Amino acid sequence: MPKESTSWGEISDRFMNTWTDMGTQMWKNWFDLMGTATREPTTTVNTELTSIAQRFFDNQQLLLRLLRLSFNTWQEFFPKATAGGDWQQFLQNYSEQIRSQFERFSTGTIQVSQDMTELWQLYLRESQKFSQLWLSSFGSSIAPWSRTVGGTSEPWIELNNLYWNLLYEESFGSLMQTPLLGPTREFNGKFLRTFDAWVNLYRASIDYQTLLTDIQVRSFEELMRQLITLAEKGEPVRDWRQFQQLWGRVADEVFEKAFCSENNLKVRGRFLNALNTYRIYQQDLTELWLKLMNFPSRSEVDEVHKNIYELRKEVKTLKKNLAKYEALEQAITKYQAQGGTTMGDMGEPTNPVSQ
Amino acid sequence: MLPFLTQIRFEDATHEYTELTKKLVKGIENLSRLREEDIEIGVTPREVVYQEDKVKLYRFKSVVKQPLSIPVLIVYALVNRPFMVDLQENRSLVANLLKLGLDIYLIDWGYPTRADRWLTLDDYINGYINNCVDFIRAKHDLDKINLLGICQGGTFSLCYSSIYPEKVKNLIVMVAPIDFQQTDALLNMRGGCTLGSEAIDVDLMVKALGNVPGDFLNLEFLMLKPHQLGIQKYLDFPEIVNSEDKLLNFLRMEKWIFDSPDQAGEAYCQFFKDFYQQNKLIEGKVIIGDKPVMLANITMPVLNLYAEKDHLVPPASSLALAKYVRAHDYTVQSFPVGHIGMYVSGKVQRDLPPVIANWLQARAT
Repeated sequence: MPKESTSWGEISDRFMNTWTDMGTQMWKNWFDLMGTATREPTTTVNTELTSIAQRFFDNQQLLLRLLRLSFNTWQEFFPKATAGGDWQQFLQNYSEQIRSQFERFSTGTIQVSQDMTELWQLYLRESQKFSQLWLSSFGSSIAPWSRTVGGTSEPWIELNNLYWNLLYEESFGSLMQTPLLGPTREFNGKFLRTFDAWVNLYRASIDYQTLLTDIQVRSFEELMRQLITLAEKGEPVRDWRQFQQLWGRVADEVFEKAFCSENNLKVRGRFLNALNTYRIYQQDLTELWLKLMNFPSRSEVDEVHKNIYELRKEVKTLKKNLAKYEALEQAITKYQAQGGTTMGDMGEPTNPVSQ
Repeated sequence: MLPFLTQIRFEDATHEYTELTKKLVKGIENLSRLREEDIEIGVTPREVVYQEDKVKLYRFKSVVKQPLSIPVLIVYALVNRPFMVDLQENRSLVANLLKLGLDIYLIDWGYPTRADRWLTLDDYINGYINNCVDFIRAKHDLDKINLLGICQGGTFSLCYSSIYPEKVKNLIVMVAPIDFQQTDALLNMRGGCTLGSEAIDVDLMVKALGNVPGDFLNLEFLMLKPHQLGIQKYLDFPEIVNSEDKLLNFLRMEKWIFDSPDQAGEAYCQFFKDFYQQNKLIEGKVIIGDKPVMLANITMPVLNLYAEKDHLVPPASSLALAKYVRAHDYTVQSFPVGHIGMYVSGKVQRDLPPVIANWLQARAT
């Protein structure tokens, strides 16, 4: 069997790979062994012992492979050296390879260093955006904050929206409507849209609650004003019933006045519209699950109802038209029984279909 | 409360509390005796004479030998049940009209379910109302009958009369909204008469809910006077609970108020957008099915009844009718009550039925 001639490059590559594999595998096995030694020592002891023995055997195999490879390398180098061959060239090649590997390593290191720098710059720039959003929102909130002492709900609502718009919409909110990837993109998309709708509902709800609280506070102020006016007139409230009637009347007047304002109606409208939008998305999401479970969904039932409604309407129209034809036929029969001969004698015939 | 603002003395408060406790004790006795049957509404004898889908046409049993030859069809609103016109024996518009010799029919819209979500105003006006009118015309062998529309039913009656003027002898509308852009009415404002869908996007609502729940409408009506209707009414309840009559009246009203059918989605949507938000009725832009509604087509005698203290339909909204109809015989009459007072006020129950009966009798030929 002819002996295969192996180049130094191939030998050194194989040597390095085997050495690396062996090192990696040995450490891995060592850690695995340590791990298994601490796990359930009594219940799985036999299995683990078998496993340990097997791994020890595998490591022995790996060591043997390394020794064999080292032996082959020296077997190739040694005859050349002892026979006065060109062992200098051999060593030069070897050194060149080592140098080239080091060069590659240093170039790679520089490249990695550049990438790392770029990555850090990216991270910093993006995280700066977040910080900037917070700073912007803080800066923009100073004016509304200063107006909150005015006792109206507008600055509070403005503040609430400012935070949502600057912090949520500018960051995560904008991603909620993004087209998604993968087999679950439909579900994930619906889920994200529902979440976004819920966030909008939450925001609108806070605005609406703020408004209602403001109205309550105003109604109480107005009640106090009325009580003072009555006391000044010498007509103070004398019993509980009179008091609560006054409070009810005053509170409703304030409420009515507040909701005749378009700004306040818009706050309520945003809440109602957000509530309905959320419900629609929630239903979409539920329908996915119903479809999965092979249950009929709301949309399907609505579709069936719509078909029935349209058919029912059509049947009613047909019945009406039929009744008109029957009435016409009876009239003709009656007329003919009375001796009439032509339709023209009956006057203008009606066209039931066109009616 | 601050003592200088109120003069609720301790002895007065104690006395008030004692009196209240006495009333509550008596009230608990009354309440323990009452059952759901005791607060039944719609008590006047009647029979179903025509039925289509969930809609029933009732004819009330006449109490006079020779009622007026032209019957009256009452068209009530889709909101709440129509038996407000027949609340109880001594407070029944229907019973009083029967006593005055009128032949009364009433449309009961029933309780729309999700299956009725697609019903449109075309179905209600060109369908149900028209079929009921045709049925009565055929039954009495008449070309025309009298129409009495109440609240939203009044608006429907106006639409119907403008489309089918040949079938309506006399038209009576009661607390009916005509001009929806009256900004002094909170209901109009909340409905979006100035803001449109920014106040409430009704398309979105119907898409989300299918039918519009009666509970939502109840809440909307309560929110027009949240303290008086939602709190004060119940704080006053102990004051009347010792009187059985007052208690029964109160409970009947509660039953009627909260017996609120859902609204068929499409019909609600169209009514809300065309009437409340875009005020198309007075502009002649409402189209029901394929038939335009022109108030100018209304040339038959018209009696317009409104409540002076109506917080749901402001008087100006009802009174606007005079500008748009071409009736030579147009009468307007007001009553010093609120919207609900038109049905339940003792004074109105005494004065209103004769106004209607006399007006119709004068135009019976």
